[in-house]
Parts: sequence; structure tokens; C-alpha cells
Amino acid sequence: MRPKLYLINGPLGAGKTTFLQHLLAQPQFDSARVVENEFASTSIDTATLHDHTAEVQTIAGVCICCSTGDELVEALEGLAASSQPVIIEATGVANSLQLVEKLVLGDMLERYDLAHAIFVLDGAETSAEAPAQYADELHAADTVLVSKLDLLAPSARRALMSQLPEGAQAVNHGETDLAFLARPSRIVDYYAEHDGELRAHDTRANYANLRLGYAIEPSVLKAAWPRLAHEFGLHRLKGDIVDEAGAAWHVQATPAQIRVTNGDPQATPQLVCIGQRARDITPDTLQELL
Amino acid sequence: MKKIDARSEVDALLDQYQQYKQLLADAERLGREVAKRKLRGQPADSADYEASRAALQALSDAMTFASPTVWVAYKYEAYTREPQPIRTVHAFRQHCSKPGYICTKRFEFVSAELAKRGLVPWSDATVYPDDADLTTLYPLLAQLEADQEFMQQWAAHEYYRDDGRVAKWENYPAK
Repeated sequence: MRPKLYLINGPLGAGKTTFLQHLLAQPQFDSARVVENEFASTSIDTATLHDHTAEVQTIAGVCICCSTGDELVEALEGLAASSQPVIIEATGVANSLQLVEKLVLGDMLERYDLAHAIFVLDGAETSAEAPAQYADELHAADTVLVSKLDLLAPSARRALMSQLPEGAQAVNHGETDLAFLARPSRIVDYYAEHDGELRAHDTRANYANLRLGYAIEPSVLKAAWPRLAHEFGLHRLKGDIVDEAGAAWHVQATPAQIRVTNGDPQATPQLVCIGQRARDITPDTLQELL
Repeated sequence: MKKIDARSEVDALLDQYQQYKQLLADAERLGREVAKRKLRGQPADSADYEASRAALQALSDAMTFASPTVWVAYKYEAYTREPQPIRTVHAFRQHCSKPGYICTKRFEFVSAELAKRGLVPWSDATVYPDDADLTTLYPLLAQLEADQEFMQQWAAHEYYRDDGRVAKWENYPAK
């Protein structure tokens, strides 16, 4: 039996990893393997995902001199021997149809059963007019999940949902009814009929990956986060820090809240900031602000 | 060792980068045609696609950096209009932070050599702040490149071949 393959895509900070964690907590994904195709320099989420699944492979960002472009297919070839499901979490800038194209060219559809393609949209960051930006993705996806709807007023929520394809559903902190997974995927047919350009979205994505060469106290970061979010228009902060005593902490923040939990001592201290002026933040400016 | 004309080296690399982008667009177009024919059950001759991929790989192999200055200057100039420009020291350090990747090896090699010679570590943010323009590193690199032994070691990694195959920096251990 060919292993089932699932694609999860969506803009940076939309909540893909949070949804993936929910998925991995389900019995049918007990032994699932994960391929993370990361846009940021190194994966922030690998350590988190290791709490849920034994096997996480990370494909880091693309650089002419460092990447052959075949890494995804190579990773999938290595995982095809087992019948357990494989989930690809895309970068936040990848185009789902380009991923499908890579699967076709690499003959991966002969090795895997492409079971479902999911696109996660950040409800709080997407106005009713904005879905046009993701038109291809929204139509190509088998299911659109909308996160953070609780941050919208009821009227804005209705306006947004009315612009989305039929079957779009809310996802609340990663949790949602997974009945949609039983529907067969049609993304390959969509790709075959699609004649437009395939462009990566969010190519000017404002994010900064800060390698931290200094300790940060969780309480200080918690206190500073609302100001950071406001001053730099950030809607997401995630990563790992080490405090003065050498303890490791994992950080996840949205404008509404910041969570700092026990971290992986092996994780590289770094924070990814996502938002309007994220690129204005450097490790030095962060240190000063704290 | 032959004197390196960094300006002409960088210009040649910038030309190669433009060629690379064009070849990449061609490979993507040809790949799309092959993928669609496969899905429609039509005969899919992928020879042109494979040839374009091979050309892409050959060009990538040919893009070598004669010195750290050439490497840094190329990064600085090539990505100016790209979504992720490398104009500051921070952006460069970030670019060179993917574990095991070639640019990371180059960065680590230069760091180790700077330390060995008692020169300023380029990872030191007190000397080279994150927001410093990348070109501020040039004088430091010039100091390093004056050392012939260093240049020989750089070349031994940059032009390394394994049984004839281009294997840049495969002879330098990843951390």
C-alpha cells in the first residue's frame, strides 16, 4: 500500500505548525513522518514537532550555491518505503501547485497517494478583499482552514468567510473537525488544468530570523512583546531562547498573547519575527529593546 | 599566486547569475510541459527538461569564488533586487547560518582563519554591528587575503573535486 501524502501550506505565521501538531495528535497520524520545507534559514519548529512524531526532516531555504532543488523529492524517496503517512509542511512562501509539479516530475505520485492538500489562512491578517492574493491557492487546496477568526468581529468574520471557497472552515488554536480529510484530493487535477503562472506568494514576506548570542529572561521578553509587536507591526514571534541560568525556553507569540514554555536544550537560540517591519529588527536592536 | 581582479570576477559572476535565472525559468517551463503531459497520459519526452537541468547544474558548478571578497561582493550585488537582499552584515550572517550548507562552511572557515591570525572576528557584533553595510567587511578580508597560505587553503576548498566531480567545500567539515 502506498503511503498517504498530505500537503499543508499557507502564509508565514498563519498557524500551519499549530494545525500540524493537532493532526499529529490523532491516532491515524500516530506514526506519521513530517517533511518541513522551511523558508527561514533553519527550522524553528523541528524541536516542537519532535514532541509529536519521531521523524521530522527539514529542507532549508534555497540558495543557488547550496541547493539542487531536488531535496524534496530526495526526502520523499527516503520515506516511501514505509506505509505510514507523510505530511509536507511547506514554507509559507511555497506555491502548492509548484509542490505538486515537483511531485509529478519526481514520479512521487507513483510512490504516494496524495490524500489531501490544506491551505491555512490567517483570518486576523486577511481582510475580506485580501483572499484575492491567494486566489490560486484557495482554489487549488482541497480544504481551506482559517485561523484566528476569534480575533475578528462577527461581521468581518462573515465577510471573510463569504469570500472563501465552499468548505472553508475555522481552525481554533490548531483544532478543527478533521472529517474533511476523508474527501479525495483534487489538487492534481487542478494543477493539470491550470494554465496560469505559478508564483510563490509572500515573496516579499517580512520576516527576520534572529540568531541570539545572548541570554533573554522569559519574563523580560513577555513584558516587552506587546511593545515589540506594536512598534514593528509583528503578528508572530516564535523560536527558542536561553535564560541567564542556561535554561532553554520555547517562545510562541501572537499580538494577543505570548507563551513561553520549557524548551529543547539542543535547540539553537533564535527567534523568527513575522510582520510589517520585521526586517528592521536585528539581534542588536532586540537586545537594546529588551 | 595570480593576482585576483575582484571587480572583473564579480562582474563575471553577476553575468552568470543572470544566465542562471534565465536557465531556471527555461527549466521550469520545460518541467511544467513534461509534468502536464505525464498527467494527461501523453508521451512525455523529458530530454529537453533534463538537459536544461544539467545546464543549470553545470552553471552552478562553474560559479566559484576566487576569494572571500569576491564571494561577499557577489552576494552583496547579486541579490540587490531580490526578495531577500544581502546588504547588511546581519543579512549576510543569516544567509550563512544554514547548518551544513556551503555558504555556512565558507563563513566558518573564514571565521576560524581570522581567529587563527588574531584578526577581528567578523561575527563580533560590537565591531561589525548587524546593521553595518556588508562592504565594511572588505578591509578585513583584504588583510586575510594578503596571506598566501590562507588563499591556497581557500582555493583547495572552493575548487575541490572528488574523482573529477565538482565537490566544492565537501572537504571541509560541517559543524
